[in-house]
Amino acid sequence: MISVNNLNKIYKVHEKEPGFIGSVKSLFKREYNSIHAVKDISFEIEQGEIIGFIGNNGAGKTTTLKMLSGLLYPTYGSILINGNIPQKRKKQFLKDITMIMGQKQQLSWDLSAHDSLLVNQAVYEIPNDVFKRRLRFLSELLNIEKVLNKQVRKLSLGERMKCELASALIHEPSILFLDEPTIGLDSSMQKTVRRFIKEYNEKVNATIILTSHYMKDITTLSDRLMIIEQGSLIYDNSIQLFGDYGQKKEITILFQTETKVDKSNLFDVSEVVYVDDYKLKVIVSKKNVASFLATVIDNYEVKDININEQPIEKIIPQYITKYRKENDQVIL
Amino acid sequence: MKKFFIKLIKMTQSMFTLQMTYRIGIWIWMLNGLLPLVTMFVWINIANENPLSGRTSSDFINYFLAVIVVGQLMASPILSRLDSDIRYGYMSNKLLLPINPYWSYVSEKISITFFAIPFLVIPIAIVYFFFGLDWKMDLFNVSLFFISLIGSIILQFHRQFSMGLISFWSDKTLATSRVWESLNYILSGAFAPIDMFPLYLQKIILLSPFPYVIYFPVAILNGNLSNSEVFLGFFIQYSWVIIFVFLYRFLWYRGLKRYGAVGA
Repeated sequence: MISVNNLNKIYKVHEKEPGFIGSVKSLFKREYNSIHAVKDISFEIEQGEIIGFIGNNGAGKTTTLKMLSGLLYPTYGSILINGNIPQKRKKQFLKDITMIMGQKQQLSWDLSAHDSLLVNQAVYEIPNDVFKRRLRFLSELLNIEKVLNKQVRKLSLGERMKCELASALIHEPSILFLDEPTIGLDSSMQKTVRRFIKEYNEKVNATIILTSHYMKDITTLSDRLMIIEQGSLIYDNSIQLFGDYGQKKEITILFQTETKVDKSNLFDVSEVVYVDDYKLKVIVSKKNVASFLATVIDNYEVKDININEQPIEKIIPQYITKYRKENDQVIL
Repeated sequence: MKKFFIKLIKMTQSMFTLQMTYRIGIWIWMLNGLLPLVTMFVWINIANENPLSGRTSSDFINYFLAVIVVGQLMASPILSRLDSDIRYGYMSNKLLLPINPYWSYVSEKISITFFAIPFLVIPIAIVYFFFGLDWKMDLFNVSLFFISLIGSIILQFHRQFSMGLISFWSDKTLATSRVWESLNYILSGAFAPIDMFPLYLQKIILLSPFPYVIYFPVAILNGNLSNSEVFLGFFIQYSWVIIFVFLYRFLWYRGLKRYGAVGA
């Protein structure tokens, strides 16, 4: 179980004016700026949960993950993971966790993945028979048998990422911090990685915190969504409930007969996604849905109407913008 | 304990495989260690006519060949490795493993020592063939030499490790280390035997850590030290070992709190 209380991280950053004069000035007087990267975050995560942890670049996702994995020390606040404080770097804690950073290579560039796996076997004290069994499981699931003995530098991005996953999971950790594990992968490879994460979660009952800019990763895998913005946790609840925060609905109208839509009549309240003689697909503000539908039904012969929540990737920016506006107002 | 050694051996093996990939670069880098060979020829030339501070040209050969042997065993890229691991965030991978990253650097040092072997054997063979060698090779003296050599290796490793850890606070570690290396070249005995310095300077130098990296084991191998000098030397050498081991641990635990884990 993961328990986080009032977690904060403040970075002290050295700032220097550009150019030669700036360099000389910084020799005598160094200017520092404080950046409050993570602000008072608290949450609890139960074993086996998959959390979609999202936010814009620089919002504090990676900093939070690095504190959870013990790489960074919090400025204040506390973290307990299965009863351990990550920064103490207890052996049992480090055996329980893994962290995959999609943007950062973790396997040794000049060794084969197999060589790195053998080092991990020794470091994690995995008996031979268990190692062989897990390696078979991982390499079959990820389809990497043929590339395991190639030098990592000679692998394609997708092959490398799959080997990174195998290497990070060979000790069968029960807590996974996955920081953009599908970044840069093509859609079929993303799908493979997603399927793999899901199967691993089911097999090991692993707790997974996943950050990704690909919303498909989050919606396919996570039950719970955490949104971080400017260092603060602004949403922490079920991913299904998040749909209610959408300010707009997606409405599809099918017409009975060939229809020319009179845009001037409708489009002051909506945004057109698609239109032809038999179909109209629009985005309408929730408050205008009733009047929009009334106008459509009054003016056209309607065969069918479909009203949907907007996809989550559309709602998140709206939610963040709304938070920013409210937050700015508080500051002003 | 057994499990720990298995880990260390596996890590050293993998480091060795890695070094094999970069072997040409490493050997070129190790050519640096042959610099005392040039210094040796200068001193031989000067001492050719008359002995210098009681040393004949063959004494200089015995001395500088031992400098090469000890110097090559000291060589390690730990300082620059730590600097890049800390500043570019590569340390994160090591920190996520359930073994102190210190041991990863130890395994790197052990693996690179294997690469030094050709650079020990070849100069010794050549010099022995052309000039002959006169080291004090009785069992007792060789044992003393090995104890001092181990002290030198541990001292140098932890000195480099401690300096490398400065990267947690500063990005000027490599520049600082260059100043140290210049001082080290003169004061460690790699440039000239310490007993050729003025007496008052010798006394100061012999209290510093520098001569205990090169000069001390070299002087033992050459039979230049009295028993009392050897035992006093061990006392000072191992005192520096303890100081640097404590210093690295102090800097390590302080530094980790400042680690930024950048790059992801």
